[in-house]
Amino acid sequence: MKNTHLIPLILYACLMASVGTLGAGYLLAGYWWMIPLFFLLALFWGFTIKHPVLWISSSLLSTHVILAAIGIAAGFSQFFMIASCICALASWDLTMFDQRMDGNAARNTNASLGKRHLQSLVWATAIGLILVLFGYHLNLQLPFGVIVLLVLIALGCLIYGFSFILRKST
Amino acid sequence: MKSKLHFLVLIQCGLILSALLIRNGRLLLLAIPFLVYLIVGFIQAPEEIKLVADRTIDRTHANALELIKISILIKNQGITLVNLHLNDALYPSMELVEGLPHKALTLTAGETVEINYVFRAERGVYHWKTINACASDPFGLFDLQSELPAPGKVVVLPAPMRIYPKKLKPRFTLHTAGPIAARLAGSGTDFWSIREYRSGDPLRRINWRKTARHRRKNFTNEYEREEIADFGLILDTRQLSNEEEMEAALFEYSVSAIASLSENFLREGNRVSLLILGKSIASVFPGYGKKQSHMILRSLAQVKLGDNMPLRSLEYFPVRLFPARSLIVIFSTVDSDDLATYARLRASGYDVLLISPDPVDYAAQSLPPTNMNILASRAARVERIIRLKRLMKLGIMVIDWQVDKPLEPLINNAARPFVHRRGMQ
Repeated sequence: MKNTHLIPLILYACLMASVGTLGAGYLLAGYWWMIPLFFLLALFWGFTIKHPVLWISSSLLSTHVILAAIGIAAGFSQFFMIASCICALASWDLTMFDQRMDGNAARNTNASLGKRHLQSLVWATAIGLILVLFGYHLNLQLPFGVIVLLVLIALGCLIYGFSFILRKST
Repeated sequence: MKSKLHFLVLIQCGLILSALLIRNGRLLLLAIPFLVYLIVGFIQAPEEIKLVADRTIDRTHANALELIKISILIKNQGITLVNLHLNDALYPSMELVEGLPHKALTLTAGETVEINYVFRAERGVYHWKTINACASDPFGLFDLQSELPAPGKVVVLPAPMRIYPKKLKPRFTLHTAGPIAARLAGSGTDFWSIREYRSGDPLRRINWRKTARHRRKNFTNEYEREEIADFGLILDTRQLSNEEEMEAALFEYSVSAIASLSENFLREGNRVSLLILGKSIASVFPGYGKKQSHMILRSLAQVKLGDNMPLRSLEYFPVRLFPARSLIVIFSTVDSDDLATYARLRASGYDVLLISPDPVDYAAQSLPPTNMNILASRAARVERIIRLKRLMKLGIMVIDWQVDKPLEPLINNAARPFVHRRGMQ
């Protein structure tokens, strides 16, 4: 099967998995009344695949991340929330990729491009998942002063890292 | 895709700050996949683009709406570019027929890729200097833009219009053999007169019947000399109204007609010059042959409707461009201020033929037939007729050209007075 056919399949699978896992997390916690919201979310994702616009798919991903963060904060199943976020990230990326490829002529050259893209995405999500699992099982008891120090270092690294990335992107 | 990158950075910051604010370490776990996604993209971002492009155009000159094929060969002389977007510029007046001028692909080191597309274009000069290459990581987060030198140029000449104005013969000719009867005895093909034999006349020209009637006198047939003539072409490129679309359409007809006329005149061996009046003045000095035809067509390919500049600038009209007593053919929709200039042209001894594409008729066809529009069209038509009649009184041959009708019979009809005048010489 060519990558051109594989990408939409993976996209739909990721989409269903992301909404499904998020819904499952909330349902397991007893929030039945939120089922229509997840249906709505799935519908919007479907619409975004048909009409890919960056701000719509980004809004959906943001909604997904916010719902997952609320779920984690509220103590719902962390596995479902994190899996949902990873699948949503993959859906968002593939939607954008599909949009970028739209209208390109030679499908044979696109196939190689799609293959590389999928490989990178698989690597990114797999490494992300492994690190999340590692972090999930890591339980450290640190004194308050060390935590403050670590937070300050993390913030500094973040600011430096992001400013470096943004500088490079321009 | 800077917006994509900014969005991811925003999500990261949001998650980390939320985790810090509500002091929940588990929230940080959500940020990890996004962070890894960014890092994987960052690692694979290209550092440089080393591509070489070579553009091939299947022709350097084409007529309007003829198919033109462009091939661009791009070779990667650097590292593998995972996510490469190549984009060649398309002009708005180009219509794509086959293929696409852009491509997205993965280009490995040493690999070559070809972009092919076929288009047709309106009259004009199209030139390219570069082709745009944008390489990025597989996720399209970190772009690297580059303009690859790939020069190319194609001149799209005006669409040909079939005009063969056989009866358009100027009053004065140049003393060089050509196709136009010069009203002088010489070595042509049409019978002109009979005169007494002079030594040196070829025997085959002797009029034996007349010789037989006279004793000791011989007579020779004379033939009409055929010579070339001077033609001056003026194209008025001034934009005289706000109806840009209509004026542009009429202008294209004028350009096609003037191109065909110049080609015909030159093919018959005449000397032709061109003056383009509009935003600025462009001219092609008198000349003969294919080279002159090429120069005129090239000038016409580049010409555009410009801002209004009074035709009075003909006051400083280059005498070297239009030799005295040449026939000047002007293509203009005629403005009310132009009468004095036409009068001055006539006073300088030029024969003037004005071909005026009719804007009133053209506009009336596109308007809905309401009472208001019909009255407005009639008023505009009356104004135009008065203006053209004033020009005719100056001795200018005027053709009121409704562009949906063929121009050739109109030119042949209008050329009759020239023929009569030639007889009166």
